[in-house]
Amino acid sequence: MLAEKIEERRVKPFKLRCKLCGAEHVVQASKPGYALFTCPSCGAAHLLLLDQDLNLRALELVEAVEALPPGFRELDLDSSLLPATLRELLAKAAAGSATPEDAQLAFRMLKRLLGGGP
Amino acid sequence: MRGKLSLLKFALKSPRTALKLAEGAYEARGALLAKLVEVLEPEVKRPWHSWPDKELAHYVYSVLVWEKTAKWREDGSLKLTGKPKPPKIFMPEVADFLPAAAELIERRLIDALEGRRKYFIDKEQLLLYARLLDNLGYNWWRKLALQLLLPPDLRMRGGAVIADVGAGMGLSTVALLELTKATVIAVDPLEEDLEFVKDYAALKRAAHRVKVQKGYAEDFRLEEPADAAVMLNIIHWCNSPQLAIRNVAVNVKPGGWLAIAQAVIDEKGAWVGIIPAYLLGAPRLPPTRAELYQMIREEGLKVEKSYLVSGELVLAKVPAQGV
Repeated sequence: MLAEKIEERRVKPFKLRCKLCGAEHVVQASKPGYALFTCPSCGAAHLLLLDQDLNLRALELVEAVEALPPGFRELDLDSSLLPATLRELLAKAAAGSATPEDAQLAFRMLKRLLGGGP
Repeated sequence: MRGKLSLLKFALKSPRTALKLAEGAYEARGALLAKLVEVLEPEVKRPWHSWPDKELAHYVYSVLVWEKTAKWREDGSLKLTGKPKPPKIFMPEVADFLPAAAELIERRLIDALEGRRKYFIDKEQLLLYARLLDNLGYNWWRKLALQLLLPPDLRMRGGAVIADVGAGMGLSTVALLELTKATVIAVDPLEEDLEFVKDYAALKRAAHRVKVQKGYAEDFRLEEPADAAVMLNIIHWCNSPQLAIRNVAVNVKPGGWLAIAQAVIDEKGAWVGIIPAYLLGAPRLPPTRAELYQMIREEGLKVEKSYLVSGELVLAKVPAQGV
């Protein structure tokens, strides 16, 4: 029981290098899927994708829609402010049930919606 | 009255869908009205003509009066007579539509009345724009509107070509791909939107049936005229709506179809659902119903079919000799 709880709350620390200023920061991820990271050194916002084993699969700079606090934030895929089609796809991608092409497509669309360019 | 008749006509054909429409409209309208009153309550002592955006001010004040939550004062201000209770939301489609619409009213209405409305979709608005277009409610209504309008033979014909004018991010394009066997040409002036069109089509595994063309409704030109064109809630996004309808009709083969689904300002009052698109940057409020039909007839198009189901749905035929 306790082991299950510990398993549920597993966190994985890893190092992120800011794509703008190059500063390195240690962050902790607790679930697969999409997350935003705002560099505490320069304020640049990044979108990232973590796979089922919490390995980093993609990291891209985005222009955050609003000023975000520095640090690491896992995206809530149930968020009522995500477009419906994308929400569905992102959930599949986070669960590992989307094809690699679809996961890539979802990442690209989300990045553009967050102001990350083409 | 026409709305009720239209819904009744529809209920005879498809009672379950008609009921869903009526319930959805009731819930969405009630929730948005409550939000509108909440936002405007501290402001309605101000006469409508004192706001920089007089047209919008008169419109939103009219909504409150029509919905019996306020009365006009002699100076053009309002006296609130009641505070509507937001209805319980039972339908997932409405629950998914409301957050973006309510957020727009909450965050943008006063700015818009003060004349600080944006006339374009910038980065700040892009996510909200996407959310307003892509939600369970709008996606359901969009498909229903197209299902009602498009003639069955057009939907089933494999070689047909349909122009989706003002495709935006491609949600209407996706609906057309799902409902028909046609090739769809998505026309939109924004490169960024056309990129989304391609992505959405790829998600639906239908990219091979989509072409994109950059252009405004008023002046785009297809290589070959299409069998039909669709204008889904875009007239208020057009700088010159009459020219847009004229040009779209020119891009349809003689004897082909123009399907329009358009929010209109009801002559009896107004519907709060119209406001979000205006707040997102549409250059104008939607036309009245009379204006819409006048524009269609002005171009020599013959109205073959029309419905009033949470918006005006019109199927018009391009004359055999063309326009």
